[in-house]
Amino acid sequence: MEPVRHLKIVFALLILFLAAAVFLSAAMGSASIPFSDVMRMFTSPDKSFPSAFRIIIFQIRLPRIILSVIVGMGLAVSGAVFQGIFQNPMANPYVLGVSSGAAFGVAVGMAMGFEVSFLGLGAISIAAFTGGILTALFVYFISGNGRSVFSLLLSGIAMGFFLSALMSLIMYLNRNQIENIVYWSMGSFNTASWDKIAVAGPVIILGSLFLMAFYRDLNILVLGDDTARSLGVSVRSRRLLFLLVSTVITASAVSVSGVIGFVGLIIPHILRILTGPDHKTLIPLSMLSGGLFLLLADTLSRTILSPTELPVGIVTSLFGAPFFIYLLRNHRKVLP
Amino acid sequence: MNRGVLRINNLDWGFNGRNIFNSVNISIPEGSFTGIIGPNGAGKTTLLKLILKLLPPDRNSIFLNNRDITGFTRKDIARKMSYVSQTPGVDFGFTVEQMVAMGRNPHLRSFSSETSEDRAIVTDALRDTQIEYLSSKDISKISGGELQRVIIARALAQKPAILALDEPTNHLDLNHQMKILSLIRELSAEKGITVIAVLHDFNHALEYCDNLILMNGGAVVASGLPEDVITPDNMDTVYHLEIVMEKNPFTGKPYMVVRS
Repeated sequence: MEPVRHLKIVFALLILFLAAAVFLSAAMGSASIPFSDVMRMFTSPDKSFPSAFRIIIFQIRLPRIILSVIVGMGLAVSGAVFQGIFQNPMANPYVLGVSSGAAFGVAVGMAMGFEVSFLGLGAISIAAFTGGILTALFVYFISGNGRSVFSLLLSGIAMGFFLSALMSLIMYLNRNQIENIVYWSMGSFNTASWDKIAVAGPVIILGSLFLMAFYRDLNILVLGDDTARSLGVSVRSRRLLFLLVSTVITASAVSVSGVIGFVGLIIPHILRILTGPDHKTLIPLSMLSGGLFLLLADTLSRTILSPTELPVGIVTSLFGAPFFIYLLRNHRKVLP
Repeated sequence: MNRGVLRINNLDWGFNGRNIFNSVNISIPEGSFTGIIGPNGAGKTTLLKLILKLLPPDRNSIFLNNRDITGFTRKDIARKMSYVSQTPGVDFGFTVEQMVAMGRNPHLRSFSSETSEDRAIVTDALRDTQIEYLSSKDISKISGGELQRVIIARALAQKPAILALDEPTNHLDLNHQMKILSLIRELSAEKGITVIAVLHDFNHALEYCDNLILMNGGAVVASGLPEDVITPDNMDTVYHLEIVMEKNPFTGKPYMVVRS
């Protein structure tokens, strides 16, 4: 497939779809609020709407919509960056053990009944963020400080298995918490709040824009270490910087939503096929598409079995995995 | 003789406890086309990588314009020397123009964007390597000869004083081998770029190079004019081959024939 060259049209369409999805999603849910009312609530500060409608839209649905968009952005951008750095299409935001570390942190937190809060975030978010970041750092150091991307990848996988085993042990010993831990690890936005947006939003968006500003270095890193060095890139320090920023983005996303798979794998992968590997466009397109995809998945997860809801991680994997297999069979060579 | 734009002075270097170079001395004259030849494992690629600081040389062993390269940053090096490696990757899906534009990276600061001057340099590099018609093509979908020109164009976009090439004709058919070497020689002559190339074919070395360095087992066996380096004695010592020197009937240059 030839990459699409009319990128401005792609950007415009994605922005349009994202805006439309936000309005549609705000109108959807177990309490039926007419779409026209939703539009008017957004456009006029008029207080004539029933206060229950306003609360549902502005305190329940909108935070959830915005948080899912932000988390989708973060996962897709860090996926794009990890795939580039590792020169491997299977690399994803969880490759350094962020997800297993976060899940382990949450399991420990729930088993021990932590009750702290910080910046409006609950104990679970804090445990997830801390577990994710500490695991990623540990993986980086045991793999010889990122000397080779291959050893990083393997160390991440090994660490993931180890932490999953510990998590199973914790669940086995604390059976009353099994349901909570499992539910968290499937990913959900049902605890979304403006506080979570205020903490995770700036980290994810500023982190993504920061990575975008380094698009030239990211492009050159894809060409391999020696070529990158001969083009003036300090490979190890740059790689560490990009790994660090994308890991912080991922851990922030995981801490407010749980583990949501496939967004970080599939979105950048599709974009590479459709619009090419240039990080100058790949990163902003990943933000838009990742946000759109996760918003749609979350909207589906809370409406399809209404009034109960599915963990969004199940929806992303159910749609993501088959599509990914289709892509692999049809476009084998996207990255070396 | 010129003091040499690039000097290697008593280079001792080893890796993982294994000694590779023992007091190697080389001086590369400015604007010359210098070929490095030698059997597999002679240290040719390692030497190029040390010159480009892709491997870490010791202090006071390699000098660029009489300055010790250990004091240069990566960007300093990349502004003065460019590298055409032996195995250019091909499966990335960048366009030819994007690939060549990466050669401007050492001249750009982070967070700054390319100027019209950078774009003009990229256009010139595409023209000088005769690949303008490829500029919007995907690099994973062009031929080996075209790809080699893309890599050379990227190296030219770095505006280097020195162009280092590791077996630039590897994997190319004979026709493209000659075309690439002619291109490199022309670029060197027109732009005054010093070329250092690891070559495998002795007759190409005799045909295109101004100077040759013959290496074996991490040491320089001979250096100087091509016909003074590729001699029956040297070929016997290094390769255990019996050769006869003839004259190339087309160019009048020395030509080597091996007894099979």
